[in-house]
Amino acid sequence: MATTLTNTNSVSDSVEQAFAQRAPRSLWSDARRRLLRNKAAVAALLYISFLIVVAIIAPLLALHNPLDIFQNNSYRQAAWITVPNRPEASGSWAFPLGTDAIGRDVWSRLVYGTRTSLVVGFVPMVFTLFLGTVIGLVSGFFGGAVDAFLMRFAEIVYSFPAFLFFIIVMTALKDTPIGKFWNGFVILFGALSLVGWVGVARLVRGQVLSLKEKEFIEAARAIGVRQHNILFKHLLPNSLGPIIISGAFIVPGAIIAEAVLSYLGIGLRPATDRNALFPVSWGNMILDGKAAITAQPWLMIAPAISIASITLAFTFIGDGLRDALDPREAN
Amino acid sequence: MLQFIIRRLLWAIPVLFFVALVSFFLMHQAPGGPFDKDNNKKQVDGATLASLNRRFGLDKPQYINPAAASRLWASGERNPLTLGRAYLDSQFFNYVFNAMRGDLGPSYRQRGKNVQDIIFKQWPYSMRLGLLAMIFAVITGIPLGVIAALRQNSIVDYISLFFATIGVSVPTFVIGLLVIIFFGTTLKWISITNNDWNTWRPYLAPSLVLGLSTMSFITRITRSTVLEVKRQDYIRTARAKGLSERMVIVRHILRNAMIPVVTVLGPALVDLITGAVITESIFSIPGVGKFFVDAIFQRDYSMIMGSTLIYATLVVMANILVDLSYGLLDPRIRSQG
Amino acid sequence: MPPLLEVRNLKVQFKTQDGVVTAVNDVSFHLERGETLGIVGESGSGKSVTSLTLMRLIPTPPGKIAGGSIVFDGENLLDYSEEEMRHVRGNRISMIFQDPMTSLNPVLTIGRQITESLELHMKLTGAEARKRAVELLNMVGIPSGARRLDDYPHQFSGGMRQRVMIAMGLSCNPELLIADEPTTALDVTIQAQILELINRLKNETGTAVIIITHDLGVVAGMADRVAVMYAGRIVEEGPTGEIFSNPRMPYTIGLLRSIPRLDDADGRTLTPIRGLPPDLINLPAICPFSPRCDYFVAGKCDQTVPPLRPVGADHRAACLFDITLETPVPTKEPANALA
Repeated sequence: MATTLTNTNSVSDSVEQAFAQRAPRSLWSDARRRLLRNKAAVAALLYISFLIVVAIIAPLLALHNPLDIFQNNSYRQAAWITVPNRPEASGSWAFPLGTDAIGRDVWSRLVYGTRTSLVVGFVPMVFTLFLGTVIGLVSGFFGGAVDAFLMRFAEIVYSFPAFLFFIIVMTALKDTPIGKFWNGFVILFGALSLVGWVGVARLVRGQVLSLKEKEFIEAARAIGVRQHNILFKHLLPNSLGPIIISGAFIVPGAIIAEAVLSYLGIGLRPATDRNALFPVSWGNMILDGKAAITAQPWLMIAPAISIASITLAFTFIGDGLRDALDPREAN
Repeated sequence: MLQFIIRRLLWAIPVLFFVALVSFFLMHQAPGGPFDKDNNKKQVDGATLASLNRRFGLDKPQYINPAAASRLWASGERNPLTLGRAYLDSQFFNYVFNAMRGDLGPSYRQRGKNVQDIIFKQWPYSMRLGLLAMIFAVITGIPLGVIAALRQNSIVDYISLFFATIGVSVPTFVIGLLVIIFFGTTLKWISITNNDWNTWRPYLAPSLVLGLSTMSFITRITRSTVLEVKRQDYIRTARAKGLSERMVIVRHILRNAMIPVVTVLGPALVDLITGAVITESIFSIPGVGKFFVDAIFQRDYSMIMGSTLIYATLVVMANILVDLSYGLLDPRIRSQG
Repeated sequence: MPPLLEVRNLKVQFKTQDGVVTAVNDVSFHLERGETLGIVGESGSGKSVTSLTLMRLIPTPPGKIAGGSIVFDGENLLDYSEEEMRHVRGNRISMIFQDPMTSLNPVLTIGRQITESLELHMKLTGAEARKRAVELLNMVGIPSGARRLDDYPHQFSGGMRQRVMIAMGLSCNPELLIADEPTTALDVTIQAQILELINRLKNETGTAVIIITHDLGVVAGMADRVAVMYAGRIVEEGPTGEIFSNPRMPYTIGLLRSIPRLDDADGRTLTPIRGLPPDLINLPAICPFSPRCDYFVAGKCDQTVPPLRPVGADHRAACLFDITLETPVPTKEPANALA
């Protein structure tokens, strides 16, 4: 009898196994799976990782110091271009992408520019997300007058066209002490973060407001979970998806803003220190290149393509994250 | 509805005031005054500087003028309006009051010209560029997005999505410069210099460049909203009625999908307005944007402030317009008034 | 006379990222003219997919009608072209959906949404269609229909919207009306009104009705016959009275036991069915209900899929055993004593 009993149970267990739901996947591992299936996003992630490596080992890849001036080598064409009767302007593999107006190596400047672009993309994103998340959480969680005030303020800031704000900040403060601090990085980061937080704050607030109504928050309240625990253990983690998605889209926005401002001559200041960590920005290079569209087109083409590809990559990542984290959007 | 319009218009006042205040504050953080150097970058002598500053009211306090008010009070003036005006007899408030009358003050670099004269003279060129770009963006972006969504995961979808992603992520000025290099200097399909901007033809390339990112943005949004609407229960209801696919699309999907699309036309329009600044400068179109960029290079503060205010007004108006059309399209909003 | 609708061996599959889901598996049933059939089952049992398949409204891809036939008035709908099918939808077969809040187009007036099919199928002019729409609204109990024709769905309550849906469904005098959970999204008091309305209109117009529901209470009051679905299959089918008084499939018994009944004199306790419905991907060829079944017999139930077999007059059940002769085995105790 005992044997039959175990036998029966094991059969019935195997039946249950056959019917069992596939192992439940957590939201995050599910999202990661979806992200990794998105070919464009994976390619973009690889490309960004590649750029990060380039940024780190820039001194190894650069043929010269990006600030070194080579006399009598101004506006040398890219290596594969020969200018008839003008050997001094014809390409040389000592300068693969040619030189700029004062004889600096474009390739080396391009390599170092990767650093600037990445830093300009990531740092304001962190500040923006932090500022936006804090304000959004506070506004949504406390509601009432705090919420009304913060959201009215956000609306005013939002109505200020971002691009014009950048221009005004950068033109006005460029020659002041804080504008000169760290070659203008500080003021640039400040301007980018001050404008970007509104979108994040609204998003987080909306998320908090809708989550507050959800049963699991009411349940947490009902069993006496403390306010700050509700905020940090329930509301924040559940708002993380949209925050990450918007973060991914802030990066290319910041990179573009820096490039445009540098192109207008009000972005980062040109470095003078040969050992500077961030000596060149692609936007600055484009501005240099504009003066020599025919004489040395690669001075502009190279940074233009670099900016285009890095922002494209971040957009693909952002799209991928959105599809992965927002299953409603995914198909 | 009328109440809604009035509320939105009133809300524009604090916004524009804030824009003016922030621009004014920031501009005055820049070292040096506007007339320190003359057009030849020579130092201006003290007496001339003082008279210039007095002529343009730059000798007054920056924000408030309590001294003037108390002087008036001491002289027996009791009319609160007059006293208030004296209290606000400052650089900032005089600028605001003048701006409200349409006077944006003199350009600091183009001597003898007022900011508003420059802006209104160049305005038609900018309008032409912006209009063409917007038309291009809307009439290609919406159909592309709709087609992509209706043929989801087809090759048409992938191609339009890919190019739309390029369009939104690659900055306009980069595309503009590449267009100039390849189609201008290399292929010589478009002329870069000596264009007659009073005709339409030279606007073709710049308006395509300017409209591209807006178009891509519209394509992407249209695609995702059409996909969203396609999944709605009421679309299934429409199919269950036996409507043809064309009727389902035109009558049921598009009507609903256009609502979110119109809401993003606001930010898109803003991008277009501010994007025009760079595009005009790249293609040397003599519009407001080009003068704005020139003003940035020359640190022409009054011109920068004036243009910023004008652009901000445009942006605010664009947003109001979009909110209005939103209300017109969506009966749920309309009935709320 | 052949039945109005005869579904044979219908099989519908969906491709998902985890594999192929067989949502409807070898389903056969029939429906006479003017008859009301109730299809009952849990969510995920395939009842809604079955009803959408009758209208050929399954999105393809990812869906696919993998086999079977749907013979409506002598013709197989699966052989129809899309164009021919459109003349059936909303005209000869129409459908009412579960959620009246989302099933009406928010940006079109309800007048427009009703006249749409009238103009399409009955070739009415705009004015005629509006006149007919007012009649329809009055028929479904919406007062002053003429005035409400130009209102938008958000100006109606949930029950009123479902009435509008019913008016739309009946507008072209269909031979078959499919009501997919027509009352699930409504308040209890409204539910009764809507069911009463469907019942009344069914009798007035003589249309056949398929009512899809998870609620046995709904079919009890409306259906002539009931089909119980589980895991994509019909597991029991028979006259409504038979199903309630003499259920022959353990799942049906479980369903009946898990609904509260006011007329239960002996105060029997509610017994929920233990476990969860199976995953429809890679279903093994065994009785799909066996893991949850109180009558489970090892070596029998886990060997084949039990076929639907006659157990009474017009009554079929998919169980290998005659459970009226067996006693249920409580959870997980050895079942071989029965065999």
